[in-house]
Amino acid sequence: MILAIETSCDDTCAAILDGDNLLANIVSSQTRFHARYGGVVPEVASRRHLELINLVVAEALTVAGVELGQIRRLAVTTRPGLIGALLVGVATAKAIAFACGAGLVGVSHLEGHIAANYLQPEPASPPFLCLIASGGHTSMIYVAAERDFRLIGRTLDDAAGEALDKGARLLGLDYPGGAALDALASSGDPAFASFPIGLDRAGNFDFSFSGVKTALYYYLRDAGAEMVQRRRADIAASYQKAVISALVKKVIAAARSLNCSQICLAGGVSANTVLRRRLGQECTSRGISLRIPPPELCTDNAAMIASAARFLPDAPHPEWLSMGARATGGLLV
Amino acid sequence: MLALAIDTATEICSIALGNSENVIGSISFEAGRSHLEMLFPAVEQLLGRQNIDARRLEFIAVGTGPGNFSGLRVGIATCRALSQSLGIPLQGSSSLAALAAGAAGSPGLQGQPLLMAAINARRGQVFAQIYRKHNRKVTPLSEIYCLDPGDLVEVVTKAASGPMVAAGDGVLAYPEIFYSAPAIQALPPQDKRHQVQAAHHLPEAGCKKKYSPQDLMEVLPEYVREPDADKTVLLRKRQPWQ
Ligand SMILES: [Zn+2]
Repeated sequence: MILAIETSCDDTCAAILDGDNLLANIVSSQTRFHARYGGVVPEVASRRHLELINLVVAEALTVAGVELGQIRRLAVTTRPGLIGALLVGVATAKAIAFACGAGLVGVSHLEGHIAANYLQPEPASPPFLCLIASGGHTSMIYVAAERDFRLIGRTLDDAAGEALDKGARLLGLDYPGGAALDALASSGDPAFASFPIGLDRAGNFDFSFSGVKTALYYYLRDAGAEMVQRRRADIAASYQKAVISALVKKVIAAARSLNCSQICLAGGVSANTVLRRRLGQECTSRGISLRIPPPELCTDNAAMIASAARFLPDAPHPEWLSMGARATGGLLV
Repeated sequence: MLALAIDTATEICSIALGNSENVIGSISFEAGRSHLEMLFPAVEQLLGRQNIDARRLEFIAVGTGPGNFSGLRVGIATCRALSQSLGIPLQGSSSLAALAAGAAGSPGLQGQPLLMAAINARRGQVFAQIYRKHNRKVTPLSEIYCLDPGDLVEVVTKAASGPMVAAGDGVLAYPEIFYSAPAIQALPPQDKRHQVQAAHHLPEAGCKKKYSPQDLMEVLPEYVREPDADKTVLLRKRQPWQ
């Protein structure tokens, strides 16, 4: 029985996983506390994590119908993320492990996103190509085996979700605007305007989203308020298409070059309707199977951290006592 | 009642083990910015030295600052989780009061019942509070100030009715100001009482606090400062692979 804690960004999360059975997956979102700043404020996030963490852990135990004494392992996100936010989770996990005499394992947030694909209802098994796209990260990782990762591509600037949120903000939608942009775009014409796709060259699997965001800024400035108001849905659809096209084109190209017949998604952007539809079509026509975990396992959560912990050993004594947290770092390290 | 007390408000962490009658053991160490990495090895060392299993603890006490935000969060998150998982009461108390209680033990204080506890707040400021000593206790006489040291000296000189003893790393950070202020008698630089001693957070005799999940949630840092959104870089987790 694993109790997992995840506090790397703006969601306070705890989950309990017993073998393959996810007994509880609690997420306390802080979004509304950050909305007025138009982005995640690290100090606000750190304060909220400390206020919420014990409540979220207690809730996970209650939902799972489990006593702390039954927990044999603690799993906690140690990297990458906001350092002040991470340390609340790590300090909490350490103290619970110490008090309960349980093992402790530090997990990479990115390995967690990948391992969300191993959870029910439709667990994937390697090899597969995983696209992690969220407000904080955008990476393509080839997963040859549970602990054998190869970085295929990553964003060189903004994350895909960040690009969608910023576009939404430029169009006057409230933070975090990704979902609202998706909704607005659904009634618009994606061919109305043309926005650039970053690093759009064969064989290049990295992403860049700062150009498309800048293009939207100048487009809106030059188009004039009246036109922007009248064609808002069309502009939203066109902008979203450029961001999503970059993801679809590169992940399909990477799968083909790796001769990989399975693609898995992770991260909040996998809720985007255009990404799901277009990637679904591309995969079907190429005989690639596409797996998308349910939304609550795609966005940040602790179930994915528990899932990843199943493939990791406990940190040894006494090193685990001095476990730290890091703002950077990815897989394996 | 066997209690563990932790204070992480300053760069020097302090841990104490004891009951209302006496301190069984204590450790202080320079944590710098590594509170998360250094706290638990020290807790295990202190308990191990006394051959005490964590499950024998009956009470947790923690300093709530003000002080270093990250340090406080590590200490408080640790203590909240210990309290929650051991099912034992948690008490949060002021790190400035603990500092004042330590300084109140200074010899030659008889004629001077006033104390100022001062913790370095960074960004050119000091957290401080004035206390009055009577018998073995200290009680706060002022609000918690967060001021630059020059202004602080002016404010406390006006607020207090007489000279006061000053202690804390806030004093040590600005010696040229605090050692020359006429109304302030700062403890000598090498005096150990500039450090917050967690032992001063240990519960008092007759403390009847019971474990309550609600009480635990209310133990939070005394931040004094609001989160500074304008000066804070908004989240940009770039290149998480590096
Ligand atoms: Zn994430």
